[in-house]
Amino acid sequence: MFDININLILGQMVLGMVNGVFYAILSLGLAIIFGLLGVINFAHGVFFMLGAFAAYMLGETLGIGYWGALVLVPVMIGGLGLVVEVVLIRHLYKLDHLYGLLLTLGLALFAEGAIRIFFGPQGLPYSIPDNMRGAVNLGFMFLPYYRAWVVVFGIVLCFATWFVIEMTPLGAKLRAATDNPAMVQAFGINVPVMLTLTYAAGVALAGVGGVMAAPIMSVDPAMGTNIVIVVFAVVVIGGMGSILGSILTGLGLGLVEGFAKAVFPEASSTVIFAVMVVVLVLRPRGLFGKMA
Amino acid sequence: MLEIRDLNAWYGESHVLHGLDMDIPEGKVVTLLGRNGAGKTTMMRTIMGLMGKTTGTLTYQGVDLLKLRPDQIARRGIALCPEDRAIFPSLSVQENLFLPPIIAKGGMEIDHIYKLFPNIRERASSRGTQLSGGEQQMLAIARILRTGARFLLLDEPTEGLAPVIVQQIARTIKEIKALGYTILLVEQNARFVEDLADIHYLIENGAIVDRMEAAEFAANIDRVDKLLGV
Repeated sequence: MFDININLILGQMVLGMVNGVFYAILSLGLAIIFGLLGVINFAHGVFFMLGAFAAYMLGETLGIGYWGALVLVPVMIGGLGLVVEVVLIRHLYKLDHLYGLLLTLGLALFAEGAIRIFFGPQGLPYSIPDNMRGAVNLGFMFLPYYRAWVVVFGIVLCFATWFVIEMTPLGAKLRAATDNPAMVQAFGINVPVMLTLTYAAGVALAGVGGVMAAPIMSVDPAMGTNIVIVVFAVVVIGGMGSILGSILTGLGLGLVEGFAKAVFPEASSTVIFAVMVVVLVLRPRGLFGKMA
Repeated sequence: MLEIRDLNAWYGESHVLHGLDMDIPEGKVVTLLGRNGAGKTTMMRTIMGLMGKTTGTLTYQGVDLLKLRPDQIARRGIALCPEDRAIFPSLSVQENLFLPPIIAKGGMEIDHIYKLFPNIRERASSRGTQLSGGEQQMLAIARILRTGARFLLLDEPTEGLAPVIVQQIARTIKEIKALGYTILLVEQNARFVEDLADIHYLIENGAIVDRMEAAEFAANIDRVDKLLGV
């Protein structure tokens, strides 16, 4: 059943880091949104998918390539998130978390269906940027430059976000508003605007992830739904609302998944859910979550 | 400066403030004395815009505060030091201190704050909730002094504190008063406010039942004690 080959394991684990980066970026955005807004954003995968489609459309209609899309798409997806928060999400803040989950689930199904109508169910191709073609020899594998870029940029992006939240005055305001939003507002900080911008920033992160994923995964309407299920498992394992937990768990589970692909490929798609079950039984608040 | 007329406030269906009238002149220390549940904290929360349903008028510098959001009220130069101190557990002492934005020039310089509360400087990198009750109270007061707000709402700043800390807070309030701040001080401790305040209001069951100038307070202290259940 097990075929142990160190080079294969190392290779799959490096490639697993690519998935881990996507898990980390998406679960980070979910954690930020849940921490401050208390919304379980089931539409997060859709913003990831829309990021990929936006990159595709920028290329097809305006001739804007990958690097331009990497700058423009987060702004576009963040703007869309801003509208969604103002028009829909903000009306649910005083209600149970379940209402936010149901609304965003409906939103996700609607958006995915709409994209399917306009673009069809098939995946669309998106090219790797020319200056990222080729691979580097790591000794145990040839790692494509683009995947190396995704890992490095994704990790930098995650830890930059963590730095802003944990180490800056802006982050202190966000953390304080998570603890006691009424008091933060009584200090003169416009908390409703902060909530809107936080939602926009959280989904913009998903949009960046979508652009990064476009050359690796096919750009298709289901790509968000496929990944968001795994990302929710990552968030549960890391602990709801934990920023560092989301990043480390996302990256770690990418490695676990890669390892499983090497030693027992049949289990690779379920290993994360098996970990989730174990964590829920032994430590229901998650690996990095705080006691309720 | 702050003119309160026929103020009513509710927690859900519960009617807590019943047609309250008060005047808080600029540069004065005004106390609101009453037992637990009399409506003192509700009064503070209402001024700060933190209550849901309210009626009446709260006129500050010509503007009715009841029509504003809490952040807009704070931006007009009003700052609250709440009863529970509201020290943020996920923030360090320094982050707690620098959290409220500067809303006007003339706030207390950080060196002056550290001189008033040296413990805060020493514990700057600790988590806010690792401080003692007295240190948390000092931090909660220090936090609003640097913002430039000139009207301070202090909600039971001596509650649960050791006598030596109470004395330190009294000295601080005197110093702040000397700098020309306007203060609304909610208390249950009549002895604490005796030498601090210019005007005293007594509140019972959500309504003002008496008002006295500082000069009248000593002669009426028995009546105040009776109202406070001392």
